[in-house]
Amino acid sequence: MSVERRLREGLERSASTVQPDVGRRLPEAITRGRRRRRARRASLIVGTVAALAAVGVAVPQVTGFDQRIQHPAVSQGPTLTPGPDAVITGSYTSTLGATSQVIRDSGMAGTWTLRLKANGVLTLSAPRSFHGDLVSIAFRVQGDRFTTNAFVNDPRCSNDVGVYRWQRAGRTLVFTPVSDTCALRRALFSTKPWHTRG
Amino acid sequence: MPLPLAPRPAPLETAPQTPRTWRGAAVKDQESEFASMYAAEFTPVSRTVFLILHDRQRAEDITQDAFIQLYSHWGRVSRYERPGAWVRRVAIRLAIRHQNRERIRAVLERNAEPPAVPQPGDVDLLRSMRRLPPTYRAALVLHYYEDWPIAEVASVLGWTVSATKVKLMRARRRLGGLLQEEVGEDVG
Repeated sequence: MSVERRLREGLERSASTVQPDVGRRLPEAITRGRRRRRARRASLIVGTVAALAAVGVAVPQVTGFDQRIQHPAVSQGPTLTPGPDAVITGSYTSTLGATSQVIRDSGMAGTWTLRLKANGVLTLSAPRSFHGDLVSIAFRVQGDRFTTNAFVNDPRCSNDVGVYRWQRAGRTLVFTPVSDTCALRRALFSTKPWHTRG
Repeated sequence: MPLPLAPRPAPLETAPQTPRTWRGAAVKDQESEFASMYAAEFTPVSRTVFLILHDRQRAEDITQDAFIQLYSHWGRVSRYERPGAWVRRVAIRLAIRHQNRERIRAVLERNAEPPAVPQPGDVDLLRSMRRLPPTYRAALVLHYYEDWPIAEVASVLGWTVSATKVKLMRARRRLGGLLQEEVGEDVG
């Protein structure tokens, strides 16, 4: 007899000796299967929640818009409460002259456009001469405090946020530094007033 | 003489079911499908696993584990063309993993005696197959007992088709020597 035939016949004969009690095992399979499915779903939910939590922690850290922006360490200066009709959102422009070393070194001289959106996103349009990073900008207003992470990716700004006091009078918006270690940001926001466009 | 009562016609519309009832009915349907699959496939799968492990109780336990996995994925696997093939693959992989663990344990515990070959059946064949690596054993079982084509055996064991052919040939030669039987050349 060949090995192949022996395998086919011998395996068939040996296998037929296995006669499991299927009726007894089925309820156990269903019970344990349900438990396993619940566990799988639970771990999926936990994993999703953990991933969302990680994103929630990582994104503000990456953008530099961390806890400080929610609890800015501000020094209490004289109160300049904006009027109830004061609204900060909108588009503003400001034209900087080459009046300081920082402005000259970074090519900031020229007209800047600042857009403050209601969702907390801040966009900047810079003069062509400016060489710097303007992505991932956010702002927050709490009372008369304006906090922003503009230039957060710029190594000169040490991944920090700046806090300003803001006041709007008619078409003019003025930022006064409260605490900001970033010279670029201070030069941009507080050298000259901003004016609404149009 | 009274006429026989006509059977009451079935209502045309059933009462609207609440979502919870629908869900309950869907789960019941799924469980009854799973139960049918279990009844049809548990014995053949456990036989295949037994031929790899040569241990009836262990084979049934591993088959049960594979069916538990099948249940937990039943919503997806039941839509496959051959859900039976899915559970077989899982069971075979579990069996090979178990057998590899056992081999390592036997090496570590040098005095461990291999369990006796179950009776009846072709005792000499099973005893000779025990001397082969678990994956070789699985390949022989899948090809000669389950009648799987070489490509499918290769896919389950993670080999290429040509490697599977070579290994099957080596396994048959080795068995031929042990059983003193002639070995054919053709595979697949």
